[in-house]
Amino acid sequence: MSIGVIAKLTLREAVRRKVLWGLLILSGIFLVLYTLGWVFVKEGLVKFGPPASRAVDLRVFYNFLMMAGLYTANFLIVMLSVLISVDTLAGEISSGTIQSIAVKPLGRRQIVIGKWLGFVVLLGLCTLLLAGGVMLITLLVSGYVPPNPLSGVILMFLEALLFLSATFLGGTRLSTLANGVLGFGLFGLAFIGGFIEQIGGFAQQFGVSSSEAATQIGRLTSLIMPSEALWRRALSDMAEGLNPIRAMTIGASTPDNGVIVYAVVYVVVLLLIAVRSFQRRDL
Amino acid sequence: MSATYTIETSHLRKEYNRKVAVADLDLQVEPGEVFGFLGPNGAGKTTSIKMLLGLAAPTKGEAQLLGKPIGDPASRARAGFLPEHFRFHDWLTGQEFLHLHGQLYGMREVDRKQRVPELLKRVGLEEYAHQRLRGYSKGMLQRVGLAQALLNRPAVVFLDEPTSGLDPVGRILVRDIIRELRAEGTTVFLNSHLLSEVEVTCDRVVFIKHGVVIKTVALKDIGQGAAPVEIRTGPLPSTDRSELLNGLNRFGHDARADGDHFQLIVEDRHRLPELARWLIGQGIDLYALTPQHVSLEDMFLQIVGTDGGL
Ligand SMILES: Nc1ncnc2c1ncn2[C@@H]1O[C@H](COP(=O)(O)OP(=O)(O)OP(=O)(O)O)[C@@H](O)[C@H]1O
Ligand SMILES: [Mg+2]
Repeated sequence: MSIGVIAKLTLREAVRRKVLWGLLILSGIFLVLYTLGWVFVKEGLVKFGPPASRAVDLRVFYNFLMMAGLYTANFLIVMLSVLISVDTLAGEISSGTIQSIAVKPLGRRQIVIGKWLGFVVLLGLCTLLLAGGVMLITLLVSGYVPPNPLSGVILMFLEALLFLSATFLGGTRLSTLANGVLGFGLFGLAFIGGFIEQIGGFAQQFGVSSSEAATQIGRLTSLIMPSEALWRRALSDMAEGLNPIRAMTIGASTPDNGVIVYAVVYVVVLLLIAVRSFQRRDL
Repeated sequence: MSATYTIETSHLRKEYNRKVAVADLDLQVEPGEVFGFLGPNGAGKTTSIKMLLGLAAPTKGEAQLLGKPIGDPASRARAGFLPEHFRFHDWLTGQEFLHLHGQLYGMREVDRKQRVPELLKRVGLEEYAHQRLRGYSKGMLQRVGLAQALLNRPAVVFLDEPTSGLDPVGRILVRDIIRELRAEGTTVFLNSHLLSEVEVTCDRVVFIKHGVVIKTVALKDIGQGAAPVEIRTGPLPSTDRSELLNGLNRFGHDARADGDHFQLIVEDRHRLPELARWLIGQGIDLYALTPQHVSLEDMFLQIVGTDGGL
């Protein structure tokens, strides 16, 4: 019951403090730009004929354009998941607003989980808007639907939740600023780790044997923050049967279902540790 | 520990990274009592309240609130709290803020719809009910915070310096509210540096320093017991001054001559008539025998010391 009150409060705060408007406007701008991009490409196609005539499968081309949009959308969703939640615990602890809430007869667990659920709703909306928007625009302009679109969107959402849980955990102990550094630091780490792993994958394809280390580094970083692995899995799902795209963006290793399971466990466990850490915190 | 006290602590201690905030607190607060919790800055008053309300975990010791171990949410359902640094969600309006806190107390909507306007009126914020807290002044925030602390008709209310931001009218308001609470049988735990207010509102006060209770005073006793007395006499007969001072010291201590009058701290006011009879019996012309009023402030300085307190 109290969880619901806190979750609603979190959503109401997002509306009142114009966070929601910010999200909507940002998404709107992004989608308009993306549509413009498509329109120019379409014009080019009409003028010069499809690249298919130059030995490329048209579906591969469309898929590539959609992936470019999703890549940016994914980046925005992850950034937003850190940005909108970085202050919620840390800020309320440091300002003291949490005090009059925490003395009420609800447990601290309810506070953390209620807030978390509020942000889950917001991020769900974000993901639908950005990733769903890219797919919808692609569909409207070109008529192209990628394989497994739903699985792609869900994986991107799950990726946002990874960061949400991580910033919640950080927020129970760190200042807002330090927590932001943690969130974006994790993002950077996962990005670089994934990059190294990909290079390793490529190198292996060309028979370079010393790339084992690179793969190991990638594995290790995706244990610490499995976001990049999830993204590659999403890519792989949405480019099923389109080998040129998959090879280009994924390198050699396609994350298996273990990564998804790991990510879900990661989200839940970090949230539970956050609850625990908040319960033990002096306010 | 027994369940007869509203608040009971035993050897309660709090350290922040080895810094001792509350050393060893033993308190018993009776149901319905208006209890003043006094001490210099940094004595550990706020920290003690935080422990009682489950905001900070004690390093050692035990405590019960309303018969349940502290930290039990069930006892907090019957407690109200106005924090020292009253910071609230300032994007809510006064009315929304109170409804939110009512919900967190688990109050039903019908109750809230009755209680919220009633309290807004009580603290003088009717007109500002629909204004966001961001636009409230410091005193207005403290008033709405006070309303928040009373929403659930609590059995015990913790007020941490409830008048620090208030104008004189607001202070009288708080005083009246505390009186009403007392009349309703609510226990009030009051933390304040405004001793003249404490003096008129509290039944009992304790003084703490470095997180240890150093003195407990029942305020109805404040006109009783020891008191400084000023004695004015006519020209002394042949009696030796030092003999007179020795005689005076039998009624108290620190007797001294000060120009044409004498000062003495009597150990008990009930001995004043006896003292008067004795003086007259010595053949002294007695012009005045005046017990001085001891204010809580005098007591505070005397008990806590004037060495900056910290
Ligand atoms: N979160 C904290 N971390 C470290 N030390 C703290 C913390 N909170 C309080 N203290 C220390 O504990 C001691 C008691 O503080 P507390 O706030 O309880 O005092 P107080 O009696 O309420 O004082 P005041 O009259 O100034 O409000 C102080 O020395 C303070 O520095
Ligand atoms: Mg204090």
